[in-house]
Amino acid sequence: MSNQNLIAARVQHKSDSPLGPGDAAWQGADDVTFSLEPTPPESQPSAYVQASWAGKERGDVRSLATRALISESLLMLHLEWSVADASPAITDYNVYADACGVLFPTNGEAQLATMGNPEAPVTAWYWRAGSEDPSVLTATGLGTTRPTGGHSLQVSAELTGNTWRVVFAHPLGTGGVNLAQGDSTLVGFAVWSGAAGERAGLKSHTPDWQELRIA
Amino acid sequence: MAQTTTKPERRQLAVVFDTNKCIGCQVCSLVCKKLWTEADGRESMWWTIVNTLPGRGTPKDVFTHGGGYRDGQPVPGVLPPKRDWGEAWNFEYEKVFASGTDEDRLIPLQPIDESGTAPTWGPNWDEDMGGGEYPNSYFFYLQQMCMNCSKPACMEACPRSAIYKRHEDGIVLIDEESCNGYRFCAEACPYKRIYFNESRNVAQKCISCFPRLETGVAPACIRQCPGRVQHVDYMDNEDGHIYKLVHKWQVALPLRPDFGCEPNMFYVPPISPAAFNENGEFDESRSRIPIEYLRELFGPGVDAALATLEAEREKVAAGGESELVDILISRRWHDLMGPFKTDPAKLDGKPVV
Repeated sequence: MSNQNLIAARVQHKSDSPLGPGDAAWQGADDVTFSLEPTPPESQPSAYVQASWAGKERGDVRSLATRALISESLLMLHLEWSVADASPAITDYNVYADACGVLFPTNGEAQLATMGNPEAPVTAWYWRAGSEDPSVLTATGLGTTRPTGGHSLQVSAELTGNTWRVVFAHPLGTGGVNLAQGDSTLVGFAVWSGAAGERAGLKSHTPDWQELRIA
Repeated sequence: MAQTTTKPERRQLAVVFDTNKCIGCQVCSLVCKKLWTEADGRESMWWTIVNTLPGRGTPKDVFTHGGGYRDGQPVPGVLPPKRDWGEAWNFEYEKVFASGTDEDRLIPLQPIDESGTAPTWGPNWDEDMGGGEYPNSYFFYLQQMCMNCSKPACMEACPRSAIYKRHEDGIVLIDEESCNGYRFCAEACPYKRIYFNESRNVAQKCISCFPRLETGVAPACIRQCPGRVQHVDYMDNEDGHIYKLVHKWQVALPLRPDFGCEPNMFYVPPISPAAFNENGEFDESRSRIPIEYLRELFGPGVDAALATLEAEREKVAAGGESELVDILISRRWHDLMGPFKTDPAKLDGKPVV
């Protein structure tokens, strides 16, 4: 595990809507930048995907800047990264959109690299550019993500040039987000570059769990 | 008392398409569109389409995009852009019928694509262009739809296991609840028969009209064909047309068997007229359709298949009888449909789609 701790600073924010990605309040949160690594093709659950991506350039995005804030009602994560060529929407059969995700171990000793297992699942927050709503997913292994039922995750995103700034916001006390002062949880991050054809398990991600701590 | 359930016998549905009977009318394509692809992001899709061969096909240059298997290993594929499949067209009705100017009313009704401009490609765009040089030019028609392969490259490619092959009839289906729109399946299908629904972010394709099959009704493209071109049955029915055409007479062949997917749609290859020589006379030693081209499409079995077809036709022409020719003619329409002879208009309850 990395020693870089992401600390969610307290913020005075009364609204149930998330802060925008450009809100000045984010300047009050520490910026923690993580190195990202491409997922190895041999880890993909399909022989076709393995064969198609063997030897191809992968992992278009190699670093991700993160910030965290916590209000009375929301945990908010701010993700910022740059891509070589932004892809803000699926506009054709052969066009894939940029995307990002945050992974949490649901309980137990879930492995990040395997997206959990049947005994130790993981929960993911996922947003794809061009889609109105984010998703909350659970997974018990590679290729097993399934949407959970109703959720309260919100997202706000901005694209400036080839740089994305995305804010995920989840109400405290629901959906497994029960974090009080001093608590910490493991967290992982992933980014997909649509222009590079990245989707599914083809992505850049933090290779190990990181720690998110509530100030 | 505990009930015991028996898993149904594993069976494979198969279709035979006779290239010698197809007139290229596209009724199969249209009934499929009417049933399945008129709305909800499917407007540009043609789950079944008849292409003129030789031709570039649907999507453009259909067999050149990779996918399938070579030496048992998956072959990387690419997914052509939507314009190469053909967008859903509209027509300039407003301009032609409601415009106030005589000049506009004299313009023939023109198609426009999704960007409002004249399309430059579409399904079967190069219709009837064919190949060869006059007087030895030639073409024939080939219906293409999901072939419910025994080794479906699409199913193997999906990292989410969203594609499955039904035990009871071998139909390959996409579970849209599990599909995340990654499109590896569409890349991997060497026949390029999987479309992408952009509005719903899911892959979609021919479903073999399974709701019809489950009530004993033949797929719409087969039942509605005015040329009686297709036959449908389970492959293991040794008394049925499919088994006899594929295994007994070996005149129905898989398309591009080199793709390694073992498709379950088979084609009776086109019987070519003799070529003309330089004096304008038939040269019986030469086929107008190059045999090399047919071998590329249907594999090395095409020579023997054509020889069998010719021999049986000659037998009938000489006054004899031929089971093979009788099957191909299918004087009784229902004989084409194997166990799926039910009239959808006579079903009880909700009409089948």
